[in-house]
Amino acid sequence: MTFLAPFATWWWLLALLPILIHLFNRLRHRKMPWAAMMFLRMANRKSTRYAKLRQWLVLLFRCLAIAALLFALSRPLASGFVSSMFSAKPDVILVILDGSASMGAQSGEGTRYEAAVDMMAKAADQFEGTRLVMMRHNDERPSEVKDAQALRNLAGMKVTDTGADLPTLLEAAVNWFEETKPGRGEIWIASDLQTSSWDPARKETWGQVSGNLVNLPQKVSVRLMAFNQPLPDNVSVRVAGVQRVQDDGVPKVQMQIELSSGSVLTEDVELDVFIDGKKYTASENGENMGGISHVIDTAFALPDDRKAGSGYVSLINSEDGNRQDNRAFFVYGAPDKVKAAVVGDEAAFSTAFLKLAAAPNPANTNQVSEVIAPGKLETAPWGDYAMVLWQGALPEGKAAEQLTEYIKNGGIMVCFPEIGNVGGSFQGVQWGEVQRVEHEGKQFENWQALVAAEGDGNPIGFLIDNYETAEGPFRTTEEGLFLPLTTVRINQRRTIEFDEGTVLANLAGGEAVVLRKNLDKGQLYFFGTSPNDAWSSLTEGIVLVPALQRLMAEGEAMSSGRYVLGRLLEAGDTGALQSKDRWLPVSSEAQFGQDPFEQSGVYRLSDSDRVVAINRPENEDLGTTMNAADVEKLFGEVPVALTQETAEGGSGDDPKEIWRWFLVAMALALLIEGLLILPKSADERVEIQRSSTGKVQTQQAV
Amino acid sequence: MVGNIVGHHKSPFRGSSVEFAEYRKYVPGDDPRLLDWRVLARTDRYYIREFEADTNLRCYVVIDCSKSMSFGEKGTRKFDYARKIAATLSYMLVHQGDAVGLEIFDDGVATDIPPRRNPLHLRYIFDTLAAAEPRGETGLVNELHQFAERIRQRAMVIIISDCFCDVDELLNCFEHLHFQKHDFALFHLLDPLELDLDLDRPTRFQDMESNDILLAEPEIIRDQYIEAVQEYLVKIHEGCNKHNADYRRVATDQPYDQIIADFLVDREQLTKGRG
Repeated sequence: MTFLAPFATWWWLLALLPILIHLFNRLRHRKMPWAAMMFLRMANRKSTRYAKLRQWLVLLFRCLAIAALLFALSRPLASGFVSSMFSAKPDVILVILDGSASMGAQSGEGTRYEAAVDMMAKAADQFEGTRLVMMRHNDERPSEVKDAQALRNLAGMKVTDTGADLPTLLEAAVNWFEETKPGRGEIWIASDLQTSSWDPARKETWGQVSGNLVNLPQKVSVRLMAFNQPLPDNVSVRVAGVQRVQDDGVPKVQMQIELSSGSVLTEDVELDVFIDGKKYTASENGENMGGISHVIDTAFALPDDRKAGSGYVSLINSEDGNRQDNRAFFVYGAPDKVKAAVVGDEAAFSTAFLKLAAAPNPANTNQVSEVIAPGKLETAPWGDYAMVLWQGALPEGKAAEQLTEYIKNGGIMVCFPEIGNVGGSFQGVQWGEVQRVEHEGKQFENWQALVAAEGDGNPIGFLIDNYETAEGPFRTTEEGLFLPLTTVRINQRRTIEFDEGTVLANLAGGEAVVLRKNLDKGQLYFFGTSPNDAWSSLTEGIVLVPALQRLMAEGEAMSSGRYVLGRLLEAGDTGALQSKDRWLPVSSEAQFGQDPFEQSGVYRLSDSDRVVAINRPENEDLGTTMNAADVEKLFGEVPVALTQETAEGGSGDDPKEIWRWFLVAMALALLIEGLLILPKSADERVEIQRSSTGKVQTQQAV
Repeated sequence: MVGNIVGHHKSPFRGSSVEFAEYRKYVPGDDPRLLDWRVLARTDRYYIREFEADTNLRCYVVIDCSKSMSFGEKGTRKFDYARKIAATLSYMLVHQGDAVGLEIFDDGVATDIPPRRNPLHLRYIFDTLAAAEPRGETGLVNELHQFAERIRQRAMVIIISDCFCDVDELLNCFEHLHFQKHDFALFHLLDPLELDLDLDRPTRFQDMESNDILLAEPEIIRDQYIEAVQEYLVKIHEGCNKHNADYRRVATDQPYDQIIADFLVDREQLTKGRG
């Protein structure tokens, strides 16, 4: 709170005036000879605590009245959370702290996050007795907090390198209010209003959040502390690309370092680049830049012929607006191949065909395929494959578990039938009986014999009647090119028995020939026939090869669960990182993160030598923020009180003069004081009956 | 009233005054001279004719002269007030031929003047009252007991005191006086300040008799104080009623002539009631 007309400190001592007068009065007591001492002693004994308490209360309210008057005369200004103290006290306060990387921006002496925690704790201090619950941006579970100090301890003072998902957090907050029904509540949110964190495009989620908040049986309002002042001097660093190259026989690390800013880059930039612990420098002249982003393409010679390594790039600028985005980690090495696995008998034709279909030209592309014998399923590194082609009996046991996890993490698995053991069910799908074409009592050895038998007449056999051309592996290209699936001749097939799934191709009778089942991020496909002459004309390749290539590309794109070099991993991405236990930091240095769920850094998979660089989400560097009015609109009819960050740090909305409040307080104090010293009414007053004649009536005396 | 000479007050005994009282049957032992011969002649029955006997009054004015009686502003002290009442009553009684005595108590008997009816005696009483000054602690209870024992003949006793002593013991005294068949009245003198405790700032109270000190804030304890005084006054009043005493609560800011006039009027009505 600030004052327009502050008094000197000693003026405030005037508030103690009533106490001084009281003490002075006690000191200047008079001496009086007294006859009716017996009654005085009795009265002194009987004098109740209430009478003494009332005396002190009178004194207190006199002091308060003077203090309130002094406050009013000093014309106090209140803003933000201080002014909120004058509103009714809620039963519960749910604090949501956005500790994402962008909140590491400077705000006055410290970071925005530090200012936010400090402001929240100070405000919470004023609500003693109100239940305090806290949610951090990376944890949707509300935690009970004992007091403001506990809030500071739990929130910490460091931001993470992760992003924030405010809509999801608020959904969790609303659920918490619905489940616990804690009474009248307030949700305090401290955030920099970064567009990516608030995601206004999720209109449905926001509609649910605001609707549910309004419909809660108890009143819940929102207080928003916005730290969305622009950061003109901030430069973000990101490694856009890194390759190990040989330049005239010298091994080098070629890097593309991307600089970005909220405003046009004009200042010279100097960077420290640490590769495997060795320090290099890079710089860029401000005159060469000019946009809001700029890529520095540079190379650093390696000291030896090492094939792989890691490091980070760091911006040298102590005055930078956000030190949290001044560092970017990277790993380098030989580029990974996109791999496919074919499970089946290596000697079988179909196995060889599928191996070739998955990687038609391994020498000139980065695609390779491997055959995995059925006996080596349990040791297969499924996470390394973009696609798995499965033949024969469906997986069971441990292999089934491994493959299920692989698919759920974004893998693609395609199953083809075989003669013989059909195995059990896999993900609710199983092979049915083998059906062969029979024409005029005659069966055919292969699809070519089938075609020969039909001559120029109508086609015979299992004919694909309909297939999905809008999406999936058989989709028609934008140029109108399509896969001629209806020309595939099927001599032999297995029925596909399933409860749930999407039929991508079916026979005239509606029986599925190609089925897709989605499992989390990945997909599981079933082809009802096999690329084998005895089964179908899929061996012609005109349909199957492009379909498999498409699926392989899709598997590579999703690539969850596979940590190929160059893949961008984000701190806190639980989907990609899966579990914290899988990762070990490569270095205990402070610069390297120790927790992939919160800090960027270089980490190694605990069960392999694979090393990955984890950086803050790209959105955290974009710097686009919403204005507070737009955020208020997201909450619909929910009342939102706004507190805006000031240029000096801390926060404040339009400061308001609140001297009237203090005059009201003074009037109240005087009123209470008056009530306390109000003489008793005639009925209540104890009086001794007296008559002018001295005669006392019996009824008067009693 | 029981007296040994003829006076203005009605005696409880039948006597030889001119005022006829009643007829009574003759019983052996009665003076035959008192027989109403006319009635005997007409009815042949023996009746005695009785007349009211007039007697004089023996009155004792008892004044509490303990130090507590000196409470009050100069000229309006309780003791000054007591003096005025005592002097006025003595004057009126002597001038109507009654005998007046004066007992002044402090912590013992300070002055004991037996009842006389001549004007010179009145002068003596006035001088004694003028010379007396409150001192010492209250010995009212002990002295009243001794007084009740000492005065054998029925008399009127007028007690003027603030009665700042143990109430139960004081009521025992009243019972004692009543038992001795004395007709007594109590002028209970109190200063208005003692009744209201109308003080507005912390005060160091000093007991006038024992010199004990008590620091108190009247504003805080006033209600409790007044309740205690009230309880005490009611107890005394009820005690007086019980022992047929005439109780007068007198604040020293009241005009004493009105107090005395009212007292005398009530006495007269009481006498007529008995007649």
